Amino acid sequence: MNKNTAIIIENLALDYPRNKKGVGMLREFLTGRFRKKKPEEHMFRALNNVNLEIKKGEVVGIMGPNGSGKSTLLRVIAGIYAPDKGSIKVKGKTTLLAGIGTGFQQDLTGRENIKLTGSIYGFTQKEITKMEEQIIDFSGIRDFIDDPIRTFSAGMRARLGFAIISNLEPDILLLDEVMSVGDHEFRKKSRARIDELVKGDATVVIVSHSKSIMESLCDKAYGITNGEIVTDGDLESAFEFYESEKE
Amino acid sequence: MGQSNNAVLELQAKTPFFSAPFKMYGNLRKYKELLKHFIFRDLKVRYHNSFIGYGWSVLEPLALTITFYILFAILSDSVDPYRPLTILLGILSWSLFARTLSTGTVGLQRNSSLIKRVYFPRELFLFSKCGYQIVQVALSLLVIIPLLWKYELIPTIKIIYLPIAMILIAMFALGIAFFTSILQTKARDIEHMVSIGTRISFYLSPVFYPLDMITGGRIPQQYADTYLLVNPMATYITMVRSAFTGEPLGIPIENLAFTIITTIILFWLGSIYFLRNERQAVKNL
Repeated sequence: MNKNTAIIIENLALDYPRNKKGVGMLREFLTGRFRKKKPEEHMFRALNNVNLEIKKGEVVGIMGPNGSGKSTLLRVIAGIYAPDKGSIKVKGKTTLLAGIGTGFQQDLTGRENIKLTGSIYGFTQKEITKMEEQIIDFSGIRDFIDDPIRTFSAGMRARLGFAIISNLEPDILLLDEVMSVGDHEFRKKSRARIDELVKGDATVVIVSHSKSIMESLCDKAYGITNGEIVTDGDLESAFEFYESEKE
Repeated sequence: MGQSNNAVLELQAKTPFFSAPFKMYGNLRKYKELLKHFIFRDLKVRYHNSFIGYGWSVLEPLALTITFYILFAILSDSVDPYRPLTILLGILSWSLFARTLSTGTVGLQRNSSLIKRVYFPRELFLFSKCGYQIVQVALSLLVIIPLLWKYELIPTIKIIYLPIAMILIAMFALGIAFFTSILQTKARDIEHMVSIGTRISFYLSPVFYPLDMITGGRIPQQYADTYLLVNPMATYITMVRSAFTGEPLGIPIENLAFTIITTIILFWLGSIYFLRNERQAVKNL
């Protein structure tokens, strides 16, 4: 692996199982085990023949229609799903930001949740303590930080969630449509924070439907459809592809 | 955690076979802080917003003990000198087994939103539940101190049975949960099967009665032997009791060895099955 490469993906394929539900599952279990089935009958190929090389510090966008495999690709990079074919190598610590408030425990206080989320994302006690004040400041809800978060409003919870994950500072940042949380003021602040992260040292992969985000942040963009990458990384051709998919 | 900037994460890692338990041990060491966090989280959540707090982990087994004690005083004519102690220790050992198994079985399924967003070794979900139950039992064990005082029991060297039996109970429960937690992601029926199974075996195990009632001559000897072989919990609960009362186990040594070895093999096979299948199983979530 080259020194300047952060992520290298070769001929990657990933299948999701398609389980029958209820009686169908029972029937399959009782009869199907002894009959050989074609793979496509019980598998759905979510990613197919993906080749991608991302250099250190690069900001790469992924565009495509719903169900095209964007989020699955991010999960593979984050190590959540193992590939069924091909290989992937990732250098450094990855953090996937998808949905706010991952692992929040409603009955614990905001502060306790900061510690919990930090350790879930693989940070040590010392690192978390160092980040704690910064996170509380950013969230702007210092007055309530020692209350259980079930008493928070949805917006406050989202603010805290974003404040935590955006302050973790991983080597590789994977963003899955998390640009808009909270009120107008906080949205501006979080957009600025994303810009800051993206412009820093981190390697970033962004999944988004917004052309303006892609344009302002990304060095490269790929179009993806039916689990296959169909453009070569050029921003313009990715936009063209995305427009054509819309029609 | 532990991944330095230059560490290369290869996601085509070979699935370990014989080394599976050691791989798990390595993962637990690497993520011990997260494990601690999960255990404390469960403890905190349990005691938040409750007046008695810690008292509940003592009150529940106590209430059950009193119930069974009264029941037995009416129904049975057996003479067990330490009856309340016997019942209480049985209930505590059983709850370690049953709760580890039931929470472990749904460990992957109930944490699907977390599993889909961040990677850490998934066996942590099972081990953290087990660790939480061990802490709970350790806290509840404090209530037997007055009983020991009443019966003038002074712990002897046999107290060593207690940690050994606790570890074996945890291994037995986890060994089953390794299988059921993976299967639960495919079919939600597993959780109900486990719950019915544990409830039935609660009555078939010497939880609220001494082992002596089964093996003490009421049924033919060969059946009693078979019973001991197919029900490891019978052996482990008796070990926990013996740790405090100092009475002999009353279990043939070859039966004891067989039970311990099968538990270790079950744990071993379970950890292999879990590590080989969790990567595919999480796709079902």
